[in-house]
Amino acid sequence: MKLPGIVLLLSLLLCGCAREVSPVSALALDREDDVYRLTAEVVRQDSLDDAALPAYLSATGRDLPELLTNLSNILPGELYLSHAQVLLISENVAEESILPLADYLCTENDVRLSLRVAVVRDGTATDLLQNDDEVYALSELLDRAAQEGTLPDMPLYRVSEVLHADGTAILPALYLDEFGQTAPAGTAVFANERLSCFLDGDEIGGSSHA
Amino acid sequence: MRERLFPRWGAALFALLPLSEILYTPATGQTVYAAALASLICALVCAGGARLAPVWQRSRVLQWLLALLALWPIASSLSRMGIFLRSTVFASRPLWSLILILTICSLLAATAGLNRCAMWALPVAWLAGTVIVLSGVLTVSQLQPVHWAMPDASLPRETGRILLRLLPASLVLSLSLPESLSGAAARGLSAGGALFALMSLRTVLLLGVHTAALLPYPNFSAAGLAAIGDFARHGEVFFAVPLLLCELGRCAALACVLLLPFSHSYGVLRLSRRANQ
Amino acid sequence: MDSITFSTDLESNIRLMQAIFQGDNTFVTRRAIGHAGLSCAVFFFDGMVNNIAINQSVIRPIVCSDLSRASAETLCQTVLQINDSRVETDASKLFASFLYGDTVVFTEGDARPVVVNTKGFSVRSASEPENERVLSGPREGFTECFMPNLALIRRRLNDRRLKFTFLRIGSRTNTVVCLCYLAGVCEQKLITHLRRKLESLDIDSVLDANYLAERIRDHRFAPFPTLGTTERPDVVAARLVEGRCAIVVDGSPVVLTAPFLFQECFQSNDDYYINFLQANLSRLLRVAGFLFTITFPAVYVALMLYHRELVPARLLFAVSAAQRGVPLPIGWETFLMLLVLEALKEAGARTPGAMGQTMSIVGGLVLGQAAVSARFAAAPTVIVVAIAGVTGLMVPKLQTATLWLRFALLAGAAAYGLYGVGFALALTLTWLCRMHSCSVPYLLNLIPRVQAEQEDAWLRAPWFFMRHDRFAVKRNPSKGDKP
Repeated sequence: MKLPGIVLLLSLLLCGCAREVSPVSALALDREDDVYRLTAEVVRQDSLDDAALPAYLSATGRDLPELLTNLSNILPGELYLSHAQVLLISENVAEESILPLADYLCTENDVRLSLRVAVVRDGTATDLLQNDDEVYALSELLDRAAQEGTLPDMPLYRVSEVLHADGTAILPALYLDEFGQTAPAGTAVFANERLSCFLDGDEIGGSSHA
Repeated sequence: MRERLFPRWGAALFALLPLSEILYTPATGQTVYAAALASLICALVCAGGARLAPVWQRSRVLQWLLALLALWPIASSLSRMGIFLRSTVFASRPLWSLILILTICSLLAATAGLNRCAMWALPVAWLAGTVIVLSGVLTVSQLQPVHWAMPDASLPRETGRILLRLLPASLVLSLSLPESLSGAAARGLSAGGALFALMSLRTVLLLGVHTAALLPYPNFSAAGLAAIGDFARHGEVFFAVPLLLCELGRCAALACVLLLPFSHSYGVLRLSRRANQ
Repeated sequence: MDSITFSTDLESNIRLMQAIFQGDNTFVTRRAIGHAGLSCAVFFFDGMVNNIAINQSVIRPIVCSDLSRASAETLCQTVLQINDSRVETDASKLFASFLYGDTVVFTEGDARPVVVNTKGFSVRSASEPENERVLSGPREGFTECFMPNLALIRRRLNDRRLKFTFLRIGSRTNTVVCLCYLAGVCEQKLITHLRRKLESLDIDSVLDANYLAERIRDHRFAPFPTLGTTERPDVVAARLVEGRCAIVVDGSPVVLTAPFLFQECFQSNDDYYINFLQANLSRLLRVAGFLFTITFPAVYVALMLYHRELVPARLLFAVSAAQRGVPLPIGWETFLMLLVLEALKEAGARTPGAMGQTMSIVGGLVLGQAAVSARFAAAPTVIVVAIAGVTGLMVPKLQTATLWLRFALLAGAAAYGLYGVGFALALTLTWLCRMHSCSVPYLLNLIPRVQAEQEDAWLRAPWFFMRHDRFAVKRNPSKGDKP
């Protein structure tokens, strides 16, 4: 019997084994002196009945590849960036050229091109990331704001394109308001691939929550 | 009884050729025009080639020549498919194992003969076409017409690059056809070329030329931005599978040509030889 | 049997018959002597004959006969009062008829026996077949009885071109097999092809149609059916009208039809008896169900092993949580769960009536729940396998193909993710493209798309658009057909 033989042979291939993954829902990048700190919001769900809860892990390094490697080393499972939807960068990171960062993320296989990049105003990106206990709250906020037109709709691939084209870009800005809530903070304007200034909602002609 | 290679099957077989180029072609502002132009040139050349096919098949020497010519596109197809799979999903697998499995699949399909490969091509071409159109439709809202570029001086070079990959396979296949299917060959290549150009256009308008230049497989990556709600985000694999099947079909059809001088039992060519006798 | 010769002496014929059937207690010998001295011997098998017919049409006429002597012809023509009797000189035919419930009569002075049709064994009524039930439409089904089965077909096709050609197959069982076709509608090549195949069979026994089906079908090792089977006379009649041949086997309620095309796997009897809109929706669902049942477990494994980025985030978290603590890798887990499903199906099918239902409930609900609770299997895997199992029931004609393809695709998925599934499906399609049934391409009308025969391929056209002969099967699409 040829067919059963072939099928049984193929069945031996059923040895594919998935390593447990640590899915990352959002990333925050800060700069501390001359090193960067990358904080990942890792999602953990222990059983079907439990809710998905975020856990925060940080690593330091000199560039993004090193940061990701260091982060991967402290994670229990495989660092899984495919479900990351937001990258927060702090002001001091944004004040340097963000083009290499955008290019690296674009070429990274796992990272979605639709990853939203936002600049954190008046504070560290890590603090803002850790402010919400709900998974994907930030990405939902940015999605909604982009749909309503209150914040620019700038996924990663657009950021890379506009920075390559003429070095200028506008990115959404977020901050922690007086009630400790994450809120839109207008638009971060980039010139020559670096953060140039912030514009509030009124200044760009749209309604603003800031 | 002699089996027919229906024109519609023939057209589908030729449509696979430009479709299988989509994954690997870089997206620049000129690719849209280059893809359309190269496909058009191939369609014209192959329409002529298909008319010459009966003459070529009478000669044993020319059959050997075609078989040898088929080696190059087969080898390049298998290697680029293997490299693609390795760099996108199976990073830990050795390249040779991926190429081996692809070769086995191609040969298994090739043993069915050119006729059956062409018959097989019809649903696969429809599937690929549907997926391409669907992928395009799902990203329409994200397209930015500002990325549109007019033809410039680099167009001939781009066209030449695509022709270098597309023409050998098309020519070998058109010269191996048993029937006068010049119209079908031209139609298939044109239709496949249109989809090829459409995908290049989508990628450029979606990602922009600079971002597209960063990516090893820009058309593939751009397809990952098509999603239905929260489902199939990063779903470029849905786009890649039918296109790889197109390439598998192309390899199988070329393998039929390659195996022809060694055997008398590969589909239409066997029958056409009998008919010539 | 061919060497047996009877004599003109009645007593020696009786001894010969008794010697042949020595040890068979159902064999009955009855001497009948008429008023005027006509001496006959009547042989039959108890239980196989209609006793009333023997008493009233055979024995009484002999006993009441005024003749003192009669030849076999005279016995047939003037004495026996029955509609079907003949003088049989061929010993093999004689014994074939006798063993099948006919009565043999010998008369003094004539070596030739008379065969009288007195068949009268008990038969099942023509009830609706269990596995081919319809919502509306005819509810008759074939039985194990040969002639009534043919009558059921003829009753639906009152056409003088309907032909029943008998053959005897099986050196031990000597089973009657009937090749049915509509002369002029069915291609002569097809009839000759099937007849030659049947005649060339050299086998001991034919106890069911499947004994023949596995021997005469094309692509014997393919899991896709290349011969049609049905227990419904209306289906056979429809297929005969379409230019197919039917093979009726004595003792089997299953009738074979050839050629059989892939499109028929998705056709249901109900399709022709209910509104075409509903029928077409059901047919599309069946096609989708088939694709779903073979690909769903494979796609699930591929997604969880290689393409997790495709899975919506919250679903991925839930599935990952459910997988935690399960001892086996997801590929093996799904493979074993599918095996368990098949085992449950087998157990349910082999268990009698009510127990079978209990078995399914216990197996499906209790074992599934227990397996999840005990962390033998993850809940999503159980759900995937259960859905695959349910959708697998939608196309019963493809159950074998479904079973094998499910595992083949699963292996492809475990090895190469969605690419493996795609390649496995592509090779399956290649296989289907190569297949044929009685020289008719298996995918006729589905891929070759012969324009004239599209009325009942993917969808059924409404009856008012359909020609009377829905489509005639052609062995090869001709030049004139638009591809």
